[in-house]
Amino acid sequence: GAIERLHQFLDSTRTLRAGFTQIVVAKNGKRPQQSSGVMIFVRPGKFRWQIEKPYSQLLVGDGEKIWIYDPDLRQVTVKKAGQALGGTPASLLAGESGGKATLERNFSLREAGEREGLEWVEALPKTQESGFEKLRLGFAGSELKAMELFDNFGQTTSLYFENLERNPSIAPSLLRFTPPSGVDVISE
Amino acid sequence: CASLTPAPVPPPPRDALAAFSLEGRFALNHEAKSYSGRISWTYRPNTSELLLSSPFGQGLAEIVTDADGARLTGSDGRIRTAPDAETLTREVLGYPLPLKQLADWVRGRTPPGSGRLDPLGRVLSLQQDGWQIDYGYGDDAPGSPPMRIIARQGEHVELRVFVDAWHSLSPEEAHP
Repeated sequence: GAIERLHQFLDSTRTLRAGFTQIVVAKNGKRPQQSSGVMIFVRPGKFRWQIEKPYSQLLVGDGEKIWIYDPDLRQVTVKKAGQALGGTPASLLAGESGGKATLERNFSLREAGEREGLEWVEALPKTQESGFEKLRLGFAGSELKAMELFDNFGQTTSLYFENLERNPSIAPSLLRFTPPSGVDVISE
Repeated sequence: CASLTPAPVPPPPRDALAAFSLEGRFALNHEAKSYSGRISWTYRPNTSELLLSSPFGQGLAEIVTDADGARLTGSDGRIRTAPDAETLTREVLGYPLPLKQLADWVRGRTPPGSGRLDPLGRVLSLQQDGWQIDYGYGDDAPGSPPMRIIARQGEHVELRVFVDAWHSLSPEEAHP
């Protein structure tokens, strides 16, 4: 079932690159906000989340720190890796190398059946601090195609992946970040 | 200053924003600490719902203010209440955020005769109650609300907001 697929996926995927489309729908269902870009994950703990449309924003996790660069806000925010990644879809994909172990420690898993042509597994956080209610991952065969995150405010964040590559080689520079000159850097 | 990347959809005029909702991004800086992510704000003169989310989309905190006072719900479900948003934000952050005034600042509404205007008559900078507010616009329509708002209080508190979408709420639009 989908749980087994998720385990296989996490255990056999050390690096990952995909195009994503993200749609956030608020509890009143009005005005979904759509964004798209490219994401890269290198386990354990490194990722690059580049939002390209409708605005540009870059998040880089280099293993120690998370860099958030927003050209419109003219700011780079730097956080320690541990807490900022917290209970986010990124933390599941970029989690420590022990895929299944991290998963089992933080989530209880449930088969969630078939929908939109995908087989879904539901991950329920075991602790309250995860900051969201549940997470669903949708597979087509062994391919991860979508993720849905239901937060504690009735908001749903859906992520749809395109041309997902498993274990591509990733240039190390993509998982580092140097702030451009003339931009304020706020770091903890 | 040079206008920003043009807004995809021209925003409604400032004077149609008595009640509004906006979606955008924010960064709240205080000494070395910074909160940043997405902001969704639904505002009416007597009620306001402000949801702050992480860059990945999931909600972090929601501040609701109405006739009874101000209420903050965290992502862990904990709820804090206070008579008003200033008291609430002081308790949570350690310094007060003037949300009532912020609703005017983000719309580029200024007391008559105050603030420096741009050639189109839109406010470019304003000083009010110890805050310095600077504005950026995404188009050149005289009536437009701002797209970027940076509000600083002295050297240590700074709020940056970039509005990706403005919506004017008609008075009878049902409370979301």
